[in-house]
Amino acid sequence: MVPVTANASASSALTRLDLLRVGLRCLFFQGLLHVRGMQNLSLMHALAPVVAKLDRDGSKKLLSKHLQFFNCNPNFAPLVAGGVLRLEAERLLGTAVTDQDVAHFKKAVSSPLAAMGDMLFMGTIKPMALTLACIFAIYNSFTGLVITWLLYNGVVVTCRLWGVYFGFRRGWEFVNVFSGSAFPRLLAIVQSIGASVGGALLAVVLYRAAREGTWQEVVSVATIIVAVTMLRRDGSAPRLALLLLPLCVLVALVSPG
Amino acid sequence: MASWINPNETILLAMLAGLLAVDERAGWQSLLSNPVYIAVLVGLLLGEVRVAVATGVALELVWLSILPMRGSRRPDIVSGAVVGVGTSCLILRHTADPRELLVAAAGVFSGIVVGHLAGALNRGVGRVRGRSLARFEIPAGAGAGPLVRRLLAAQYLSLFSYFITAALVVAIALPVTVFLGDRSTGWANAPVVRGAGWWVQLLPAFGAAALVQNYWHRHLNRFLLLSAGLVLVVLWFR
Repeated sequence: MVPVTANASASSALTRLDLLRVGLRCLFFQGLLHVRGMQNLSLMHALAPVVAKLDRDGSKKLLSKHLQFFNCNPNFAPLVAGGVLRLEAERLLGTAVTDQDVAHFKKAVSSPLAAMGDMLFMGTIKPMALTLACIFAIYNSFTGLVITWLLYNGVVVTCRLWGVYFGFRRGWEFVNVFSGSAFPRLLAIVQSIGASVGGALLAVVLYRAAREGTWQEVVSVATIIVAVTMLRRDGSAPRLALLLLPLCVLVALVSPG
Repeated sequence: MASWINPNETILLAMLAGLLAVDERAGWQSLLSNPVYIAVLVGLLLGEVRVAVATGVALELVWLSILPMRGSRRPDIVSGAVVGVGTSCLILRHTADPRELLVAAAGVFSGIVVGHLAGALNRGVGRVRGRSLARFEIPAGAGAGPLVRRLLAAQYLSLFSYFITAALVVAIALPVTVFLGDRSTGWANAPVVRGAGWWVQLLPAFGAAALVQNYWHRHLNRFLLLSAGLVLVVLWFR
């Protein structure tokens, strides 16, 4: 592991504008995703705007060494990109950083960040935002939809743009932020909010079904129970939904008007 | 094919689907590429926001259980939602059918079917794209310039492939689903209308089930139940 010194000149190797250019490319980090190298080309593409500044002999070595496998959550990958830039900036200024150190850094941080990012963004924040959006859409609140969209995008875009800056400023040190108790605490809070929003949608669904009549509410509750049972067995909700259509029509055909 | 299917509208929706597919698969997934927001966009474009939102919310809640994790066999929610919502809006706008739930049911059904077919197509296109990206080579010769240019070209080509796949799916599927939806709603008798209405009203239960499944853990179920109880009380006494 490379010892990180509080090296102010390493931070000044790249300007904020350089980091912003990398961050903007990180917005489309999934564009070059493929099974063999996963996001290796995306990382190379993101680092490309600053390669001339960090690779003063004008060779392609700085980029080409990232052709190896790289996989991370796209919202946390900018942290890794920033960290890689920090190591390259330190090397430029004479610190003993080898290619193996850079590869080790990527390998060490990408997998935990991938798991944390998937849990936080894909597993919690996105479903929560969509649940909230559904509630607002059900009650025709255009303002609510816009606010939800702004909040969600504020978090994600900030994470991608600021991630590069944060990774570059901290280098290896940013690992401390994620290895402490802060992240699990944040995740627990966000999950609690997500569960509360989920509960609100559950209530809205049950209330609207109850308004249609007792029969409708009973069928809704039964559908929820069947769907939960099926989802727990890795079943497909859309397939069950499609199967339900002929069943509903059949029941309507045989039941008195 | 019904003569009122406007090619300009089809092209407009195809372009929208292409752009949203880039956001969904390559971009930062801004939520605009999710059915509930697609419904608002398509509804505003076609001037039928009410039925669009009803269709979009139903599609969103049905697909809520499929998280966008890597490795999950996801349907193409962008193409599915644009086709589903577009079908509802176009049928309603051109036939002025007062049976809104039936029209929404036609849209939701079309959306789910097209989403799953397009999902399979996407996986095929993705394999071809993946194979071509896996063959990426560092260009011979000194200097980073050619490598940077090749990376940029690969990125643009990849984004274009996302765009064109979704746009083509919508351009081909939308006229077909509008035609079939229009015919089937025209033939539907009273019991079928009633059954389709029940179906649309039951679909939110799938979203609720997905949320219960997602949050039914020892530490989270109390938040889910407490919030559900509180909101129910508020709604009841409102």
